[in-house]
Amino acid sequence: MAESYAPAAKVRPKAGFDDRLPLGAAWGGRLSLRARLRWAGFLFVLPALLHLLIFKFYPMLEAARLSFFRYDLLTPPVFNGLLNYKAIWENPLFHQSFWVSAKYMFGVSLPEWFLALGLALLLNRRMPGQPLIRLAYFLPIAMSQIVVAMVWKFMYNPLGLVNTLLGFVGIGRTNWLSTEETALPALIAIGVWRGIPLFGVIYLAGLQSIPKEYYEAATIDGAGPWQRFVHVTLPLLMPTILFVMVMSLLSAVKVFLNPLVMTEGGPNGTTRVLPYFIYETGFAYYRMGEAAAASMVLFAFVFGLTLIQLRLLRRGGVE
Amino acid sequence: MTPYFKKLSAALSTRSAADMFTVIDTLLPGFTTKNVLAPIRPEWLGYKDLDDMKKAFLPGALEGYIHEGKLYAVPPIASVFSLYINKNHFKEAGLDPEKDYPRTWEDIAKVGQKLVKRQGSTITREAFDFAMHSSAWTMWYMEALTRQHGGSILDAAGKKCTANSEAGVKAMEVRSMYARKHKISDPTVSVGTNALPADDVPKGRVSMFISHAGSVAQFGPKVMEHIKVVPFPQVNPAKPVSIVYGFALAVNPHIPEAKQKAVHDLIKHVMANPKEWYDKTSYPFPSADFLQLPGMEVAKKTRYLDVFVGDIKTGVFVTRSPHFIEIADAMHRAMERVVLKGEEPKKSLDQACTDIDRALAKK
Repeated sequence: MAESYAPAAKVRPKAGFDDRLPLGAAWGGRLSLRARLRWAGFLFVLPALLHLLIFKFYPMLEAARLSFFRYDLLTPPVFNGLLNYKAIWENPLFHQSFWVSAKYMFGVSLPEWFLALGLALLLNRRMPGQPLIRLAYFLPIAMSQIVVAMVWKFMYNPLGLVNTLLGFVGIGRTNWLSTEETALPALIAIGVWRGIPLFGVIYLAGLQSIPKEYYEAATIDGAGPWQRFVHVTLPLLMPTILFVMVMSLLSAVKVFLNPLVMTEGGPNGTTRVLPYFIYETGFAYYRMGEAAAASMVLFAFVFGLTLIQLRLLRRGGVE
Repeated sequence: MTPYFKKLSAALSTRSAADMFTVIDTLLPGFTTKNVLAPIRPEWLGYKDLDDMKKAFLPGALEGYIHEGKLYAVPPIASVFSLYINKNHFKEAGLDPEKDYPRTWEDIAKVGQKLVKRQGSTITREAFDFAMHSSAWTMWYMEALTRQHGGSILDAAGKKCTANSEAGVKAMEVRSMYARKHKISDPTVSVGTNALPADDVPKGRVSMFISHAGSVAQFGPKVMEHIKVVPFPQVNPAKPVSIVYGFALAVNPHIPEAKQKAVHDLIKHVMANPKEWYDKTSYPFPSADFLQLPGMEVAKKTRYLDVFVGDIKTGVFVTRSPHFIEIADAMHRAMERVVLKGEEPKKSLDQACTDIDRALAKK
């Protein structure tokens, strides 16, 4: 029996499982197991890495290069230094788009943080038909984004479902997508509706990973539901909350399809988010250099935002 | 700008465009100034030269496709905007659609008061509406209105915006008066979209609407039984001005000359059957003898061909500029500020001109 409790260091591993031993000529060299595993790992991630390099990083570098050129798609690019950056800085439409993006980003993210948490808390309790309810609230994410945009466009139509329902409670007809005051809130509402289920699931996973013993101990100590939420749930859920904050802001700032399909940036530019401005400048006005410069500004903004949030994540104890 | 033209631009930039493709006249200056279209050779189409070819077309029909004396596309259709009126609505309102149809913009306001339907202060059926769905349509309307008032969107050299002139302000006042002053139009009622901007007409949600000749085919004969098409409204019917536009066939300059010649043969073939084009699209074919072709007498009565051709004869192409889309977008935003927010036309057009001049200053 004593042998079975012997220190591990004294147990000699069998040959072939020791990464310090030579592995023979099968792989054409004297690679250790650790090196072989490293190579195997690298080969497994290589397709994804190539995809990233070719379809993400190369276009990003190319966009960065193009931002210093005048390029109209139809004739060869001409170097013009920082003039594209100067042009977008002097363009009021760029500033308008930047603020529209900021309004959209916070307009969507802030409600998502709270509503998704509320939904997750609700679904974390036992209730009849729970699997069906979970399926139902997850449906908005399962739907194709273009389908979502088209369906909501019909719903926001002057004769559509939204106005019909509001008509029952005496609220007059509104052309939601053609009125300056309502167009952006209408798009924000769709963003929130689509984001809540996703972030709700993430919150739910976070909630279910909190050991029940903590709640039992708090209950024995006399803590009520609110105290349990504030002193047990919130601190332990903090990494998830910060993750949701990062992800929701990043996904909101990239919104493009809904403004493209539903409003084309109008009316009067009130839904022209920065990605739509970039698209319009490049492909409608043939000013690819300025579009690339605006992309770089958006990239810097998102990068800065991510750095701030990563710092917040670390402060919240998430590595 | 429709996705097709964005794709075409991308294809031209990568030299992967088709041998022959369609262009719209408004985008032609943007293409010709960048040498991405091959000049059309009239002699390969069976004409002596460009002047000889012009004689075979309606007067001015090729002007929108000519740049520095060379033709760059051949139009199988010429489109124009005319006024569609709902005969049933007119009769319900005690109006005779044959006699009481509007000739001027002021007439629209007058008959509109009889045609509009309201429930309290809410309009349930518009008497008249301008399409709001696209900046190109806004540009067509604004260009026509501005020219009817004696002005233009750009100066003669095409270097400076003049849309905020007195004529431009009057044009914008007309553009907005049905919604803001006469209350016979409500931008919140229209459901017209890019695919079917005139969709309110067949659905009976609007009594008068300005649309292109293609709407006749889109609505179909059953709907057209209740619709009458009348000439484009004017400021002064004695000096009519309307707007024409068209889609035309262009040749890829990056293909070998022999292939370019083959494409010209294809264009010749495509242009050889105007009646078939017309039957399927209801866009008039811009050839000089089009109205004399067999079957066109019937089309004059049932498809208002004579009205459209009449408007084509008084029509001009919109502002020529490589920056057309930016100009149109700036004018569209100006119109939205006035119609939707009630901003002063002059102030809104001043802003539009600032935006347009900034675009024109760019290379």
